[in-house]
Amino acid sequence: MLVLKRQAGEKLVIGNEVTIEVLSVSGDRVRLGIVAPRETSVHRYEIFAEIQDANRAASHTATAAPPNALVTLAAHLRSPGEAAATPTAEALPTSKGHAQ
Amino acid sequence: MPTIHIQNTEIPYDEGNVIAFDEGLIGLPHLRRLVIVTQPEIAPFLWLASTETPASAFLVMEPRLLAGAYAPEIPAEIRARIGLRADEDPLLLAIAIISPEWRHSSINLKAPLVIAPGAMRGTQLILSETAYRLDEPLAALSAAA
Repeated sequence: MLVLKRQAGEKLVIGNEVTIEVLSVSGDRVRLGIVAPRETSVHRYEIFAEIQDANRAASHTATAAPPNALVTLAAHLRSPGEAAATPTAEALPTSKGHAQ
Repeated sequence: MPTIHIQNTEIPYDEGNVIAFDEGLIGLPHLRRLVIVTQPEIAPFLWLASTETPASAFLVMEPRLLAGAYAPEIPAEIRARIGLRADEDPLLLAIAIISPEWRHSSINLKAPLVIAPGAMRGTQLILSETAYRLDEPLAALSAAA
């Protein structure tokens, strides 16, 4: 990891187009100003990591889902009333390893 | 017609349903070309599958089918990034996480896919100021719908 020391009002550049400026430092809080091309997304890391985990789980559970379970789930969503009357725990087979 | 393998089944797809995600999905930057594939028996779900990376597919759905009031604001820079015209409504898709127990399955309403139907370009938008969760339970949504 590259480590740089910067003071309030100083900047750094990533690549040719991304500029990050330290706007202010107060205690353990740093305010940053970021200038990046429109096509570059900027996110707080915690949120990025959360969505990344969700995306990976989504891909895994979708491709691993038993086809008949998917059909059953889809039918429940099309007819919620019927879903309430159906013993769903039996209708959907339990696959191993990816509950949640 | 080109085909794609989803769950060991070869399914034909229409090139016109391929969406370009220039940045990929969040945390999955290699997924830049995804195609919408419909299977009537799993509606309202649609498949969104990579045309380039085998076995990379998502189940998605239009969130308004279960959350009628869902209308996230699309920032101007996002509209510009995907080529969404001023007079054009985006196609919104929410990614599902499937649980063996269907009541625990959920959809991500905090980070929807936003697609310009004309340009067929999309991006995954993170809604920072929203009460919607990335794991909205399908059971609760479908009971309220």
